[in-house]
Amino acid sequence: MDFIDYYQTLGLQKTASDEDIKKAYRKLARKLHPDLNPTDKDANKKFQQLNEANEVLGDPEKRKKYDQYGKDWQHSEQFEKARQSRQQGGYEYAGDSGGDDFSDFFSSMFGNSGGRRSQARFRGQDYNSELRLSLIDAYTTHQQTLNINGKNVRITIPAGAENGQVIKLKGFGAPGTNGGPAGDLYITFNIATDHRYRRTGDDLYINEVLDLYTAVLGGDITVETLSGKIKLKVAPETQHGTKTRLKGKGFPVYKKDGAFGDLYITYTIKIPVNLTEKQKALFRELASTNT
Amino acid sequence: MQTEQLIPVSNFCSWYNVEFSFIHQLHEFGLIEITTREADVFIPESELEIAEKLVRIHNDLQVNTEGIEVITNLLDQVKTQQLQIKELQNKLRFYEEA
Repeated sequence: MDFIDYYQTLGLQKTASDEDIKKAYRKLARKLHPDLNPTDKDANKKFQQLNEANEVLGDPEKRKKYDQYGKDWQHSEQFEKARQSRQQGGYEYAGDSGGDDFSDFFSSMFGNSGGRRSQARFRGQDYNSELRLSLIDAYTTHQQTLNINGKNVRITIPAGAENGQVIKLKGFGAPGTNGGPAGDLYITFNIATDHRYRRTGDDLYINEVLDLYTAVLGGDITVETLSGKIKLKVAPETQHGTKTRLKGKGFPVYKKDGAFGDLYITYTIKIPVNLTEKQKALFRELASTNT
Repeated sequence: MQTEQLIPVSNFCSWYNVEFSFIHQLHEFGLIEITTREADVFIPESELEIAEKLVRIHNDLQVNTEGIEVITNLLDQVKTQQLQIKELQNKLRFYEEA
């Protein structure tokens, strides 16, 4: 159990007046309040430490005891016994709050009922977690079972989830303090990069390789998409880098049943290699006609 | 038919030790929804979390309703900007991979 320097917590000297303590507490409370720092995982803890410092230094009697026995707090029990023997019927601190939220240091000095006022009920801290998905996973609505603090939780991931998108699982965060409700669990989707499909919003982009003959003469090709294979007609004299849009063949739109983005295909023309002498001769003949 | 849980504002006020006028003002500022049924005023359960948060800001930090409105607006802006940053990161990733 470490000694806690409450003066340091409030950024004050030991000589600080009651007014200084009040001011410092209010200033820091406005800065560190968990409701104003929703993304800070330690906000609850910091605010509790601040409350604890104020609890002790803001109460003249506790401050006196802390100043007297602070660094030597182990002796505070003897101090307490001596006090109690002086007061008939013993001594009891006022207040009804539980000490569960105070540090061990505080509890050892002031007991579990040392709180001067009842503590605010705080919602538990929100947890943040990341879920890795492949593009294929994100393409279909599916269920996943997650283990959250020993509990198996089944969640449905709707089709069309975006990289970085966050979903909230209410009540799966840290338990609340002083009877406050539990926090929430925020899951951020981390969608892995796919080697074939590039995605922007609900649209998908792919490169499709065409052989020279199909590019020149046109023809039918089969293209693999996330919804299955589709047949496409390639127009004669298709140029390298030509783009085609396939409406509704892109990514599903999040939580919009039946709505899809588009698929953009960019053609790459593959020049034949390892030509035979006959093929070379035919190309030469072809070239000679192009004058 | 979907049923809605309603919490009497009087219960909420006595539990959190706040005046009815405070809750009414939050409603006037458009920060929480309240609903009236046969002359009784209720807070829908869906609004409870936000109402509790606003009461904590009020009680813990001595912030008045005007201040709470400013804080709420700024927190909303922060949230929107965080989402925009995420979207821009995604777009940037698209071009970096290209």
